[in-house]
Amino acid sequence: MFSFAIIAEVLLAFLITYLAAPPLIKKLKEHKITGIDIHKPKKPVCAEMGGLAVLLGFTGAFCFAYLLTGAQDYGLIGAFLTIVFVGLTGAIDDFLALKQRYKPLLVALASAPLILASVNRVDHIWFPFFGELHLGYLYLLFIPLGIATASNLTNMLAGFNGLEAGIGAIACGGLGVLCVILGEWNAALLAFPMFGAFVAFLRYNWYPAQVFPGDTGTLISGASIACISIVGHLEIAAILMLVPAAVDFTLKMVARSPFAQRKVYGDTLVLGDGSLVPPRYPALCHAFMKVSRLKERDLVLALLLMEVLYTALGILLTLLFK
Amino acid sequence: MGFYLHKLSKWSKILFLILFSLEIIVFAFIGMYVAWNLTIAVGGLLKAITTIIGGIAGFAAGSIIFWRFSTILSKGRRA
Repeated sequence: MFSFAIIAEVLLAFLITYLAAPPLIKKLKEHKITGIDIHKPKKPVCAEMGGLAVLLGFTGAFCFAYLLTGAQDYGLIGAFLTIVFVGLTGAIDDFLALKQRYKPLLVALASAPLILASVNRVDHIWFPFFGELHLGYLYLLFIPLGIATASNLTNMLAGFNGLEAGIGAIACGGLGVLCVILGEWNAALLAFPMFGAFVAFLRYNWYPAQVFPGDTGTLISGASIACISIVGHLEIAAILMLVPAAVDFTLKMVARSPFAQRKVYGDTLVLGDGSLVPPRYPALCHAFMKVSRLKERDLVLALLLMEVLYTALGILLTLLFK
Repeated sequence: MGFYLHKLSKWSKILFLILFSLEIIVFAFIGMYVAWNLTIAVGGLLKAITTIIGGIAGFAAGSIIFWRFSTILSKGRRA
């Protein structure tokens, strides 16, 4: 039953997102919910907040699969509600342009359903070579911390066509495969609809993009990775899948004026042929732009290749040592 | 080494940089290993937290090395 439900929910999530995106793009443009694509020479205007189509596809497909399997698991419901609440937080952020420091707090607040569902369930994190690190009730504190961190990491490594949706699809797909191999079917029910929704969204978000995911899309990408890993007890795999985003965050934090770098150093310059010239502050994207003269599409391919490497590493280490 | 790497082709450099980024994981592991052994006699919650902090410190060190390496790869000299 679970195998059938998983195949059905991938297809359903793909279909809902694929069909919902075009009318959503039209509506968003009508209501002037748009952003400038700054990494192209002509600076075209694109619809913002397309992550709503992903959230719609995920919600519809997950509810269908949950009813089909009769999973009846509090952890699963808690994780699902958390992802939806994080998505709504992202939508509020897209409308009101919240300050960066409020986002982690709101996302941590949105993780309340998963915290409540996790009481007396798990109290340790497993690491390869080190074994289980027992945290007791402190584990409950790690849930909002982990979800807020993951969401904001994926939110910061963004801004290029196809990058956010690509990272979400690769990581959720990887976690889904790992869940199936390990028999964590409940977590797989969460991972696959998100994978299907992000793959469908890539059709509209890939270079040259018609729509941006906005914070709605970027925040749910990280929240999904964190929630799937908590439900499936795959924390180390999720941490490894978030390495590219974590490297980007770390590099930005160790530089001068960590939260005002774009104001101080300016944006990435786009040459006439579309090649990108990075500003003078450290970031993962800038490292790739420095070593080779890249256009936006090549940069996204390089970053997605890095994500594939770390997803494969997460799967491999978990299967070898768990 | 830095004097020759910058002469590689575009995608060779990118692949090289992606593979080099694995050193970040090695540094994070070293950080965790050192913290784990420093608190070997303590055990429990303190050991768990110290190990995680050690891992984060190693990760940060690895990230900085990654950035310096990207400069070497781009210019063919030390940053």
